[in-house]
Amino acid sequence: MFALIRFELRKLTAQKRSLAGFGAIIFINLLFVCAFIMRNRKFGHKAVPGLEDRLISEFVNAYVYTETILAPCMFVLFPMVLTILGCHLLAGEIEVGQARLVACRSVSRWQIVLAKFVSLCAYSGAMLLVLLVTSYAVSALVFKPTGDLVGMGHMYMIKPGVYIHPASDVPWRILLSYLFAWPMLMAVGALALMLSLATRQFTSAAILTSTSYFCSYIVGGIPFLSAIHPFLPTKYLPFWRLLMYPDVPWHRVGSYAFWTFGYTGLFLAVAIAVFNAQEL
Amino acid sequence: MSDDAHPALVCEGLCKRYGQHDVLRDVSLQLNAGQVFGLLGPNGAGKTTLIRIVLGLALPNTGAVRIFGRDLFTDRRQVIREVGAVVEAPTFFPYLSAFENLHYLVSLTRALPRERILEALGAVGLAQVPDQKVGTFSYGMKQRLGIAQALLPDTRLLILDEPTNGLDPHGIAGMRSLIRRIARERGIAVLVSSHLLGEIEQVCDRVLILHHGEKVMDASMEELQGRDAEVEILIQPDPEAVAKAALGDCLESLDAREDSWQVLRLKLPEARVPAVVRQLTEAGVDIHRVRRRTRNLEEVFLEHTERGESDVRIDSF
Repeated sequence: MFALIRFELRKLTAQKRSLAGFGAIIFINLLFVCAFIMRNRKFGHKAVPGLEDRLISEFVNAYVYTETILAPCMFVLFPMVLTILGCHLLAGEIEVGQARLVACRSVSRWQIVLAKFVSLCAYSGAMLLVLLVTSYAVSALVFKPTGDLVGMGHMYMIKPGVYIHPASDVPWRILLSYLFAWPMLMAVGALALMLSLATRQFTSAAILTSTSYFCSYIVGGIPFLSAIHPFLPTKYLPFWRLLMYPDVPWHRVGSYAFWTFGYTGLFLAVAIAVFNAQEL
Repeated sequence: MSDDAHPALVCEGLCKRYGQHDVLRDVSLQLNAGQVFGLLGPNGAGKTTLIRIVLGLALPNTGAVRIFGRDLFTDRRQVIREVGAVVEAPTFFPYLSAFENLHYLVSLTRALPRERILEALGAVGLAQVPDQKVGTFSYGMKQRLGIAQALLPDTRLLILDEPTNGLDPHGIAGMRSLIRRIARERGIAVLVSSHLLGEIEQVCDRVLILHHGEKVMDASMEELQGRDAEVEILIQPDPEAVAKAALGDCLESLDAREDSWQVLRLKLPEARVPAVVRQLTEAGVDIHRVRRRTRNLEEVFLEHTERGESDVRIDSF
């Protein structure tokens, strides 16, 4: 099992496409820095921004920046990158025939799936770590390194409003929100592996995974479809955002984490069962 | 009983069905250590399906596979440790070097020192390019790398699906001698599937022909060559009547030759040849040459697979 994980990690690090996730982090950091600077200097903004946006720009510091950048990365960027990598890792290898080469060795199918999942977890953890370090480092250089954390509810898809946390109360919130973001990416990775086996084709698997994920979000945001909301994984996966509430609802964090790990386990179990039954 | 006492591979009554289509029908075979076994059949005959079943990549509907006496389907992980294979095209990880590909793949079975891997690369003529990315390799180089990975770490049963595909004539000759060498010197049992009948004929000890998922022939090369063998006797012109009178019913045909010699073709056991020659000589027939004529593998293959063929997957014209 260790040899398989080592092999999967080597494959991930050897491919140029794996660097794309880190390239995306650099790119979004650049955009964020430019956007914050332009807003502070009132560049290109003749209209008076809304109160919430003004608060963000007035109070911008490394804490605000580091927490703000997490939302777009978690909702769109990282799931997209993981979908592509996950599908390439399994569906792509089945399609090309590389999976058969590995399966001819003395390994079980469940080990192959699990090793790929572990490597995706390691990759997503690395992306989060790099995002945390680079975003804080960049923003600390450009803005103030510390300060109060100002966040808007709509950005994190929680109750609307402006949330302000004193500087002393911020570092643990940021660290925990990055840590709690990890299980969400694990679930997306497991989903990509499961749907890879449903299609056994990279393109179809990537389309199916991303549409499943985004459709789940879209449906989750439509109030009159609320009957189905409790069954959508995207209701639970981003439980890291609950750290934005002044009084963190730990009970909800725990229950959402439970469902997130439950969905991850379910996706993996289905993937392993399907892969065991499939011919290579 | 030790592993060595068991045949390398035994397949018994393998059947595989996809929907209404029977891909394999009651196929059995036995392959012993040190033997090179050729698997022949037109496209769609079920060769690759049989290989995938033997490797545990697909399950048969019925039947059993035993490798060195152990059941494949109950103990696959242990059994497959001694099996090396190249199935269909050699598909390595193009962004890794030849050495890395071998190193990581082989370590899934057992970690090997660097020297063993380099040695294997050398054995297939890739000693100069261990650190070159496989993405830059030609098809033939990938094919040879496939053989190297299939032989590591301690393969005792080697399964090669079309191993000479993409190789140039030097490569084909090299592959032929490599297969013979590993079977003879290391006692490795080799199962080779190929379309190149000449290659099979030169390297295999035994041949199985599949057609529409059925075994239509399973024989050793000696049996195959001995089967339906004929004796050709070149005689002087116009002794036709004499020959007919002397040989009677055992004369199969009598062909006129451009060089005015005539050929008597007879099907008879080798032990009877001297008596027939004596019979003809005593009857006044001058014999120019006597030779044994065996059918080659291509003739046997076509005879078993071509008759009344209407399957579009088979390349018949």
